[in-house]
Amino acid sequence: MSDLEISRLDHCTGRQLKELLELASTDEKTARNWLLEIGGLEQMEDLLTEMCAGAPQSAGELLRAVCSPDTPVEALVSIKSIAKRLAVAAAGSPAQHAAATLLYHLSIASALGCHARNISSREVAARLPLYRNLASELSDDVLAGIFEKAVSSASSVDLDAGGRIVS
Amino acid sequence: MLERFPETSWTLLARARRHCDEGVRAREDFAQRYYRPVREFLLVLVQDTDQADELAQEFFTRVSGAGGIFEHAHPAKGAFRNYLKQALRNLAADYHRRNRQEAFQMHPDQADGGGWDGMELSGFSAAEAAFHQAWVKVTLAEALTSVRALCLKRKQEMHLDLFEARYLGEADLTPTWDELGARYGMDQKAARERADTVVRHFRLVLRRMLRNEIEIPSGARRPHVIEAAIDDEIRALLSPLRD
Repeated sequence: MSDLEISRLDHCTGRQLKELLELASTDEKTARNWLLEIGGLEQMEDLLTEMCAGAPQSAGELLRAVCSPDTPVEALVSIKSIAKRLAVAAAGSPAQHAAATLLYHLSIASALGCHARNISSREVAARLPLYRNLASELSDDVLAGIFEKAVSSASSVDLDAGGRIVS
Repeated sequence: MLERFPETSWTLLARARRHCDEGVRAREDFAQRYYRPVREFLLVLVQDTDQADELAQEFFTRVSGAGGIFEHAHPAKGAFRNYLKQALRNLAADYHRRNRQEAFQMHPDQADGGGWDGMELSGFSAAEAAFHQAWVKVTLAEALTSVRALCLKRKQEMHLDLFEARYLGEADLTPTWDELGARYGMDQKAARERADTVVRHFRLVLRRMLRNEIEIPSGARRPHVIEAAIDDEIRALLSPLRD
């Protein structure tokens, strides 16, 4: 805790302290971007665990795999399919749907960043604005780093006119 | 993970009770984190800065050792700040017992009927309010420190400036989003979106801090239960605050 923050807060009124606390509440009546509201791997694992009940791989294993640069492309393709199924199944729960969607994008980003491979049927160029945004806006450094690496990798490979990687 | 994420109160306390070099360092960290709420509480009660400092010092030296003030503390028994407050009440009662004569002059109503052991000093509620206000400030300051580090790492200095101008500036002079945008040559929507990025960092950092401070039974750790418990904790922090 820095003295700078404390001295700033010393000048705040009780009303301002309340306003700051209320910003952290989910009671707040503002539209939320659920994808960006994923706080980190721990929260993602909590959200995915219930959805993965009975599945061959646990939520933790799936997450560790997409975060590891050593995970083979084939495994990432498999995780992408699992994540897609989970996202469809979680349509009624915005937080769980977001966790599954983020897992889906992490598998694609990991393949792009670590193996320079596009495992999605969509062109890399179409994904880049979203991945730039996730790299910049996600609060978790590990998750943001995977998208950052994907963006960086996409910038260093040759893309054809349709945004596909030229091997 | 977020860098330099604050240790939980309970883990810090556990380290502070150890009799080794690590324990000494943890006691320093513990005192640094809680000095302000502890001192605010004591200052309201004793109304003397030197005495409040002395008592605060005494309080922190009693954190460790046999019969230490937190010997029976456990996360399952409730919020850490409530333990801290109870320990402060006990310290204040001890102090007044030691200074009985002076205390009776200050609070003659306590001379009969149970004496100091069962007392309810009139100053306690004001002291607890001061403690709570300081506790909230320390909690928010820890969160804001992490948010600042995160914004600097992400090169979001302007986002942070906008957030601070909107939420931490002079209370009576809170600028509109139009005014804030104009300062940086952007429209109100762009200014608000940038500040909202920091709001989201702040929300996630603070919620994660609070999650670490609350005890959730292992059988009930479903995401919506955890989120609801964090919201309850926020309401508990909000309700005693005065405008």
